Amino acid sequence: MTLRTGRSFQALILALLGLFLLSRIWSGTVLFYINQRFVFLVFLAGLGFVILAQVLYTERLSSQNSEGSPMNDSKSTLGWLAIPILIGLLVPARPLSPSAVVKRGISLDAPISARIEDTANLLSLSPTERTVLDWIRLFSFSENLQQFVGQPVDVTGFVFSDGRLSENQFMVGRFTITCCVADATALGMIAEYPKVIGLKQHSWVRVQGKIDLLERDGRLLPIIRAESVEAVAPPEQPYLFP
Amino acid sequence: MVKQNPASAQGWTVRLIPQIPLVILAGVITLAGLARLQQIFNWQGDLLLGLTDGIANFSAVFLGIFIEAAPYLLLGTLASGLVEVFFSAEELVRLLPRGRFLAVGLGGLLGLFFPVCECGSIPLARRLMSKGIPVPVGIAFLLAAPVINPIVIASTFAAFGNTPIFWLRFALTLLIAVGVGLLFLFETDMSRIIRPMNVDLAHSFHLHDEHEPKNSPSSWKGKLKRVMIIAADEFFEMGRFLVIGALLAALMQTVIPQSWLLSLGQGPILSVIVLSLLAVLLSICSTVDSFIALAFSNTFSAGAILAFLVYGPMVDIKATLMFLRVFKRKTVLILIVLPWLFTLVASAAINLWVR
Repeated sequence: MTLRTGRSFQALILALLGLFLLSRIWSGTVLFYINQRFVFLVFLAGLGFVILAQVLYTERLSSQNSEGSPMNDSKSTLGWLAIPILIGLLVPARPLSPSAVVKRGISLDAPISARIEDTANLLSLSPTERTVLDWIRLFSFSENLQQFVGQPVDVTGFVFSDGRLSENQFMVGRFTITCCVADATALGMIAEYPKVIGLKQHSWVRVQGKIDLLERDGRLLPIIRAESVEAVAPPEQPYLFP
Repeated sequence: MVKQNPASAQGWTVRLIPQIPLVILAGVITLAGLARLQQIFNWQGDLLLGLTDGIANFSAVFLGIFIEAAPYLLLGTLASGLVEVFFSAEELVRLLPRGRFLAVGLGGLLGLFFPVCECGSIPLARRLMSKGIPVPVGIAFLLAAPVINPIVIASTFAAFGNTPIFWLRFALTLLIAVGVGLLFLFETDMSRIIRPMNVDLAHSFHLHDEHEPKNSPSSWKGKLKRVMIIAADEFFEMGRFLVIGALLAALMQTVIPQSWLLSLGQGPILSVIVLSLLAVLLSICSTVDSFIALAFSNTFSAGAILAFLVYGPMVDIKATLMFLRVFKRKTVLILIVLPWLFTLVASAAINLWVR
């Protein structure tokens, strides 16, 4: 491959990469992959790739004198960078599906990155506005857990039941993303509901009820005494960002 | 075109390497096609549903790592281009302190001013040494610079925040780099450590100014253009390892149940060995490896994560290949084994006594 065609291919791939990132930001599906705090950085990178592609493309025209000189192992390096673009174009953009919880496991604890000591903000939220992550954080960092007993709960998550729970219990799970999907950790709150049998594993539900305390392995955990469990469509933004 | 390439003489393995992306692509296209068909015809069935779910999750994890890491890789390669175009090694030689111990310690911190990752630090260290910087200083720089530089500090902070892992990564790296550098003070015969500079090195390391006249662009515009071209070349060169690393990490996450890894990941010493070897195999650029480390942080012990973050940037497959072209075999062996032993001891100690 001559330097000239090599530069053209580099420019093409960089331009596609930039446009791919920008289009994912435009459609909002970039949040299927990364935490929202990185979106601006990715936006800048998208612009950077497009600019870089432009520079390389003009360089291609001006490098006439070195047209004959070969480019080092460009073919294989160019091929690798095409993989993310093609995977992005070919595989439908979908968030991590709840079935991934089988491989990844589910935690009843707040993830490392969510270990904030400051619960004041969470306490000021009305109880029905708190997410699964908020509740688990509150229970990890509050001194007095009794204050939550009897508070109303209204959370959305996917159904996950495993052998460690009793027959009338299931978990309401959500994935939390610290940086990108690779660090996705499933968090779950235990809910008690008489008609667990009718719930489909990994399907999305909205659970309403009251908070109670449950002692498990010497620790106090939140448990939802569910009054209603209704099937809902997967939320637009399926992850929670700590 | 293949015939012009001297590497093709080395046999079929070398010729096969460029085909790997094609093979992966073919696999991805087939699987993605299946996922589309399933979507269109709404096929049911547990096996197919499981398969398409797996593909969707695999691509979500892969793209997650890639999209997250791409801005940092771009920053790193731009910085490396800036160093390449605007920096003169002779000036640095003059500024270095006379005291040898002090100089080696400073060598470990030089990366703060030259934000290059391991791909940039090896050629830069070699050039510094050839321009008169003592070998121990060059080696301390070589080992520390991929981690102790502003971009890696930023990306590690983005991933881990103000946690012990963040601070320990930098402290331990500096300690090991300076320690190994000081050991080289005992060897006075330079020719037993480094190979003579060879011309083809410039090609493989993308040191453009050695085969293109450096004085060609004198205007600011021309210089900036050169910065960007070097950055683009390095982005393709290094982006390859990021893609491979992300593919492997995504595959591991979608295929292997976490409970299996957990059994490997919790032994205080075994977990350190496993992750430090994995760091070598994955060869992920130091600017982005903290995001991949974060993916392991739920399964592996804290010491193992630290070993991944400290040893990975010093030694990995691509660094070893570059080492072999700069140093004598014996030196390369020392550069690989010593940091590994240091990392192993320090990380295992943290696992055993701190927790």
